[in-house]
Amino acid sequence: MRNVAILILTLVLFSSCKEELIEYTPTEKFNSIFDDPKEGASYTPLDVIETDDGGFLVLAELANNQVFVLKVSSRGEFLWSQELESKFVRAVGNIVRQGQNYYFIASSLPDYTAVLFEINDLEQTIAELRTYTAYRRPLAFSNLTPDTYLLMTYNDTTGTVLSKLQDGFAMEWARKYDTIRNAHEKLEAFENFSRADFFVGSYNAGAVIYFNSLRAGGFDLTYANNLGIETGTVSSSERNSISSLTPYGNSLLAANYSVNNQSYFINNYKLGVNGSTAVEELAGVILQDRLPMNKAGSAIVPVGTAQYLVNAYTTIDGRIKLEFYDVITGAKLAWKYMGGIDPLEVVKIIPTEDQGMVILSKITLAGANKRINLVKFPKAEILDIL
Amino acid sequence: MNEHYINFDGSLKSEIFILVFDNRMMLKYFYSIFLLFSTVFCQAQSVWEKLNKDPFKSSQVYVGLKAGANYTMVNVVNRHSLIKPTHSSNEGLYEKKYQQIENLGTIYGITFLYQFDQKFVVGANVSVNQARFQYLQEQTTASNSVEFTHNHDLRYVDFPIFFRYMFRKVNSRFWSSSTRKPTVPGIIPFAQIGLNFSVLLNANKEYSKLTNQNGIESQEFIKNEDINSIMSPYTIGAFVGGGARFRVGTFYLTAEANFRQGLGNANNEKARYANANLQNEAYDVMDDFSFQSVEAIIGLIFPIKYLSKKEFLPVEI
Repeated sequence: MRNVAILILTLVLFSSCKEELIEYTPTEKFNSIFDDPKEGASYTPLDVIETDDGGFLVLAELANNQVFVLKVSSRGEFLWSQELESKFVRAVGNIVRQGQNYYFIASSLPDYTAVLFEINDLEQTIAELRTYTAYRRPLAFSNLTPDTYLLMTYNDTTGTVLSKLQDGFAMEWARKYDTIRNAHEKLEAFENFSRADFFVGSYNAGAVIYFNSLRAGGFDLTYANNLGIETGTVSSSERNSISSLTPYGNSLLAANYSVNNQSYFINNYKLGVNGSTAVEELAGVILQDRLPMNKAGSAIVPVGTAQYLVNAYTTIDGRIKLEFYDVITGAKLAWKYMGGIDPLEVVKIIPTEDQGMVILSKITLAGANKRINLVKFPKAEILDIL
Repeated sequence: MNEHYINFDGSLKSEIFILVFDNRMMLKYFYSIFLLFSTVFCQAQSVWEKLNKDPFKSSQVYVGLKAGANYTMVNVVNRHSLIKPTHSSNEGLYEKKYQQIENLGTIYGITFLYQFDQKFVVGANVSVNQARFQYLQEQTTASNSVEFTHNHDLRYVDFPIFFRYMFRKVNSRFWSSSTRKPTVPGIIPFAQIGLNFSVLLNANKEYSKLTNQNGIESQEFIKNEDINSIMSPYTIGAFVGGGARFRVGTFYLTAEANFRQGLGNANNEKARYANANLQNEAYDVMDDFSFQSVEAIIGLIFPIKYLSKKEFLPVEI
């Protein structure tokens, strides 16, 4: 009897020595790659947004710049998808939400007029809602306040045009900032030469507007007030530019930028919105392993009672690196690599309702097939990384 | 008046009565025989009872070894894949294709049997069971394709508990050294049913990637991975089967075949994404599945209880 008890105790002790494994439910963690067997199919993801049912809408561009929308379930499973007509191209990488529906901007051929589309997730439909005649080559689209929006286009004769859209998506005002002859040719030449990160946004409840665009003097970050009147710039050049800007906290900013083909990151920074400065003057830290040609982006991810700034960028070896920062002190807390044998390019990082985060990236399979990759990190895994 | 009867008062009585009454010795003999017979009768009943209730002779315990082969099949409960379609028309394209090859495994261990009746046996085994299976995953376009091959090799410690019914004629138990011992059939077929409890010992996967571009194939890698973390550490199953027991001298040979059905998932649903290497290199996550298997086993069992150790005469029931 004594020997039996010793044997049982030994088995119990042995079983408890096994390494603890964190387990997740199917809605907490998933990793999905969306493939297409069609010859020559190519998918470049542009944006992702979480929907009410815990799923995700993904906006992407096909090989011929055609617009593609994909709905993914909360478990990372395919639900539905739709390709827009071939006359709609070059979707702008931002989906916004108003009420029960979601909206994005694309161009309409032949003259690249900005068109607003409405996604009805319940009915699985995408409808052309409004055409902004004379506003061409949409480059960026974002919220100004929760119910108003900013649309940045590039006019043939003036270059960058910033417009404010009301909650019904009617235009309230529009401003130009330069007078550039054959601006569209300048834009095309710039995009052929280097990768450009066009974006627009605001902080301080819409009091400060910023946009990254090709100006007369170069690819600058421009500041404006809530009426769109320019107040300052962060100037750059062909080899220096800002890749992303993330406002958080009390007017703090996090930015990825490049100077002389070297990548940098700065956080917990208060940028002067009045006057001019140069991107080289930003005192960020070098990101030795970031591939400057690819995107980078940051997001505030709330986990428990704390918030963390997560900066994501594509590395030189084709992986994605996630860096976690304390939003109060700005100190780097942890980092993690994502990816394997096929190269990844990060597109966007967003927090989720259940205090996790989702990474949208482009993955290149079998050397040539560009596909959409969506990965969800649950809260428990984030805490484990930290 | 009947002249045969003489009364007690000197009157008439029966002749028999006279005979008996007058033969008191005979009466005594008659009474003694009756008593003797009844005594003898009582002694014989207690002997029968002793023979009938002798526990030593009415049961047997066997210990033995068993070994054999199994063929494993995968019963998919829910399909999961890292690769998903972009259009509803392609749903199902990226499901794993389970193969019918590389599915043979081995099973070996020790067995314990308790035969408490001529027809009924309960048993328990401790055995090592190997489960092997293979599946393929493909991503194909017209001009190129990528194929991943996954070979799995899992080993469990099994603890089956079963009930066995022997198909045989029941012999009388009422024999002793003075009577002829009934013959136990040399070959006894049986049927059995039981539950199986399995503990995962180790789990390995060998995965390889084959790329085909415009008709030219290239194997990019073959790798091995420990997949303990993504498999369930315990599973339960049920099995039915049958076979036969062959007497070979004082021990027995058994040949049996069983069909086994897992009653729970063999994979760990919550740890589906726990293995980063499989996801990053082979875009692989496990389906939810249970095992089915067919096994053929040969056993050698030895009785424990002996009537005579000197003569090596086991209790045979």
